[in-house]
Formats: sequence, structure tokens, C-alpha cells
Amino acid sequence: MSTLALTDLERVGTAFAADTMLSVRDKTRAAIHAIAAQCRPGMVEEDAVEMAKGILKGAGMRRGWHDVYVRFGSNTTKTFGAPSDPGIVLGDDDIFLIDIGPVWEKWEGDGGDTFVTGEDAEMTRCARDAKALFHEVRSKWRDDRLTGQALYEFAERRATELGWKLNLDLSGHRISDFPHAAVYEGPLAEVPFHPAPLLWVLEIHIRHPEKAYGAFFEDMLLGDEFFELEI
Amino acid sequence: MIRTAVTEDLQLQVLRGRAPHNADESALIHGTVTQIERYASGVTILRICVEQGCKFAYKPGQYIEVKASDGRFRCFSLATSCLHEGCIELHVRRVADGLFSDRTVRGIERGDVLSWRGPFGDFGLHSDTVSKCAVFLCTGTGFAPVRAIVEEAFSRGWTRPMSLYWGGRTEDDLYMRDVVHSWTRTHGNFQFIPVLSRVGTDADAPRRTRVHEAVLHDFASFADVDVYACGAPAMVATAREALSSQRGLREEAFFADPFGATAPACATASNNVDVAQIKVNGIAYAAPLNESLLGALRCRGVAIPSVCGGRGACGTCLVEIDAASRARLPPPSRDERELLECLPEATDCSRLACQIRVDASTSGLALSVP
Repeated sequence: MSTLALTDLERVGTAFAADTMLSVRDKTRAAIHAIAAQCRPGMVEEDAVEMAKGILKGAGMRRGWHDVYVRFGSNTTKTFGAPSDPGIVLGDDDIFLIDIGPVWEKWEGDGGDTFVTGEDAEMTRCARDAKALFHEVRSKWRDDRLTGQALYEFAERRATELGWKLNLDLSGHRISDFPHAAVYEGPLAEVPFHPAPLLWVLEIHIRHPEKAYGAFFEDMLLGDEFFELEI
Repeated sequence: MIRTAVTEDLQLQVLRGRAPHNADESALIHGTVTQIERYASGVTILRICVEQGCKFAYKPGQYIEVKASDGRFRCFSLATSCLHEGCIELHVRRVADGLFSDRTVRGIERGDVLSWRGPFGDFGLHSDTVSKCAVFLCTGTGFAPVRAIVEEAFSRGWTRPMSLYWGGRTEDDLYMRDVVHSWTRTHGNFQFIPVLSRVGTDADAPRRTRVHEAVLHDFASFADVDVYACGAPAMVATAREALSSQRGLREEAFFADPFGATAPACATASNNVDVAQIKVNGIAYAAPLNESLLGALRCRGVAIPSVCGGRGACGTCLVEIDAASRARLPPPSRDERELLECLPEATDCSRLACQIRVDASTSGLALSVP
């Protein structure tokens, strides 16, 4: 019995254009930081989500291929799509994450990041480790040409070594001209080949093994030249 | 049809109508749980012995409505072709925090008594078709009625080729695969194609894709094939559309029983109080109440796209509300209005199906799906 060609999972639509995908990625990252800059201790999470939608609308990205997530405090442990506990207020020494999937015209963006409001060392380390782990996994992708499956096996092992629990429900996916779901909706963590640049996003969602907080970082799988300002 | 003038004897067959089987299908039947099997995939198989004095019979492919502790009914297909030693068999997939599938079934014990009504539904084996072979498509516990129907085909001595495509995320989801494999050994005209969505490298392992893609890959034409589909509404709707448009599947050769995770989808089939009549592209559907229009119509097999999962973010579930029906709906929220404003394909009549709640006031709604 033959199998479908795995290369089908990396198909793109007729509107796909590398430059535009990168441009939307830039808009997405800029929006994440603009949203984060408006999040202040004392703010209620629901208000932050509305604020985020306003920023995205102002950037011409009112449409999203998934909902807008700004999660405060204990809600940072929630997995993708799970409703937040209502009424969570951002504290002075707190942590919050942003996960957006805006569509700009015909192209998808997707990105996430985590920020802290105070001096909590463990929360700071959690946010930092999510981003560091993203880049560590990305390095394995770049240097060792690992498969999607192997990338997340590595990510899970490293997260554990760092003292966190990796949430494998958030384990990367395709990105493309809208909608990528028409090509492949499944996770990167189940892909048995080396994923091509520009076509996939890598997601790292780690949680404290006991305490109610976590951190998230997400961006496209790209070479180092696209991360000079981030690292 | 009401304009047709009848000039001679005419025999009518009502397609897809309900097929009441017991004298009073609304009367409650009671049974005692005699066997509980729990599988790693979160599926629990219950065998329930019909209480003495209760008369209960059904056709393979039908379902019952089981009474939960909140008084509402949850629908489950009967998973065997007939009563086995006086027992019915139900396959219950755990839905997180589902009142019946999770909280009730988790604590259920042998000896507990369950009550149900039915059977309902007209999903079942069709021996009188012209097709040369049959293909069964199912996902998850959609296997339950398919198992009943396949067993019925075996007992009738069917010789036409039969293929079962059973989809799941991992092999664990195909919780009775050993039973199905045993069919392939005892029936030369039956083949089993497991379809797993987790992608793997082993070409000899089960197919890694989705059910409709696997079938499209294997069949050049469906002109001579009957298709029986049961499981996630999206799978059923996608398979119907893809096999019709790409492989020539005839409309009358597609038999389906899409279901959702909770009761309303099934309750619609049996209780008109719980449904709203909604006309889509000129065809009337009984849509379950208290769901989004998107979810309700998908439950009825209407293919409406959605990328964001019904959160009002992606704008792909756009529908056009007939002018005469627009006043029935509450106006769009600010979020919906703003999204509609930025969708180039939206018109003054456009709404997002995920943002409309089906209730009694929406009965009679007419719309089109582009």
C-alpha cells in the first residue's frame, strides 16, 4: 500500500510569496511588541485582548487565522484554544504571553512571546528559557537537519533538563498563504522529514512543573540571518 | 413535487426518513450495565442488558438516546448488528467535562441501570442498490454503527467487495482494530485500511493522512460504489463533497450519520421541539438549538469552512442571509461587524455562521453558503 507523498505537506497556494511572508512576519513581531508595551500591571486580561485586537486592526490585520491570545498569570499555562479563566489581573511581579495569528491580505503571520512585569527570578527565567529553547531547537533544525518529530523529542528532553514541562499540544505547524489549513493542519511534531524554511512555525510552550505559570515563544523556522535583532 | 399531477398508481419511497422500530420509541427502556471496557484512547465500551419486560429491537446503524443525570439525552449508536445475549453495546468517547461521556461514564459500575429511548435514525445497510462495492468511512467512535452494519452485511452473506477506512490520530484511537483485522481473515471480500493522521516514516504502517484523502488516493471512480460514512461532521461533509466532485459519487449512494460531541445533534433527529428549521441553498435542515449556526449546520452535513474553530477570527464561515430573514437575527457584535468590514467578499447580507446562535427565533431562517 503506497502512502501519499509527504512533500504534499509543504505545498503552498497560488498567492504564496516569500518576500510577503517575511514582511507579514515582521508585522506580526512588531504587533506582539506593541501589544506587550501596552500591558500594564492592574490591567484585566479581557481588556488586554481588546487592546491587542485594536493594535492589529490598526496594522491592517483585523483578520486572524486563529484568535488573539493575551494571557496573564495563571492563564499562561492554558494550551492553544483553551478559554482563559476570566478576570485575571496582571500583577506587579507577573508573567504574560501573547500569541497572535494575523492574516494580512492573503498571507498568514503567526508569532508569540512572553514578558514579565517585575523581578520574579523564576518567571524571568521561564520567559527567557522559552525563547532560548526555541533558538536551541531551531539550531538543531539548521545544523542537524532533524525531522519535525526529532525536533520536538529534543525540545521535550531539553525542557525537562531546564526544569520545565513542554506542552506538546503546541508543537508547531504549517504557515502559508491563507489558509494553510487547506494543505496540512497537523503538528510539526509529527512530521517525519526535515521541514523547509519559511513554511513552518516552531512553537515552544513550557510550564512550571508545580506552579501555575508558563511561557511561550513562537516564530517561523528560518536561518540565523532573520534573528539578528532577536537573539 | 407538490405540483406533480398523479395520473396513475404511484409508489413512493421516502428517502432518509426516520424508521421507528419499537411500538413507542419515546418510551424509556431500561438496562443494567454488565460489562465495561476502557481503552487508552478514552473510549469506553458499555454492554448493557435490556431489562426483562422491556421490548427492544433495532436495525444495524440506528442510535439511541441515553438519559443523563441532568435529564437530557445523549445519543449513541448501537454497535452490534443485533442484541447479543440480550445486551446492547455502546462505544462512548470521553469528552472532557462531558456530563455523560466523562463524569457519568468515569464512575459507572457494573450493575448500574441506564435508561434510553429509541431506536432512531435511518443509517443502515442498503442491499438494494446497483453499486458493485461498498466503502465504509468512519472516525473515532463512528466505528460503532459501521461495525453493526458490516456485521449485518456478513450475516446476509454479502459477496460484493467492502473496504473500511477507519481514521484516528494514533493506532490507539482504532480501539477495536483487532476485531476488524479478524474480519479480513474470515471474509475475503473485506479489507481494512487504518488511516492515522500522525505522520510516520514506515511505508508499510497504516496510512498517514485523513480518511477522505486516503479514499481519494485509492479509488479512481466512485460511480459504482456505495459510501457509508459516520463520525466527525467535518469528515463526513468533506468526504461527501470530495468524492462527489472528484470521483463521481452519486448522491443516492452516500449514506451518512454525522455526529457531534453532545446530544443536540442527535436530539434534532428525534424531537422537533429541539430544532430550528433552517434553509441552506434551498434545502431545509433541522438544526439543533443552542449551538452556533456553524456547528449546527455542520452537524447536519452542510460543508461550511472554518479555520479559526468558530471564534469569529478568520471570516471563512461567511454565509449570505436572505433579505427576508435578516430581521430575525440580532445585529452583529462590534467584533463581527469589524471583521465583516475587512472581508472583500462580504456583502450587506453577509454574516459569520460561527457568531449566530441557533434558537427558536432563528427557525425559518434562509441563507446561502457561497
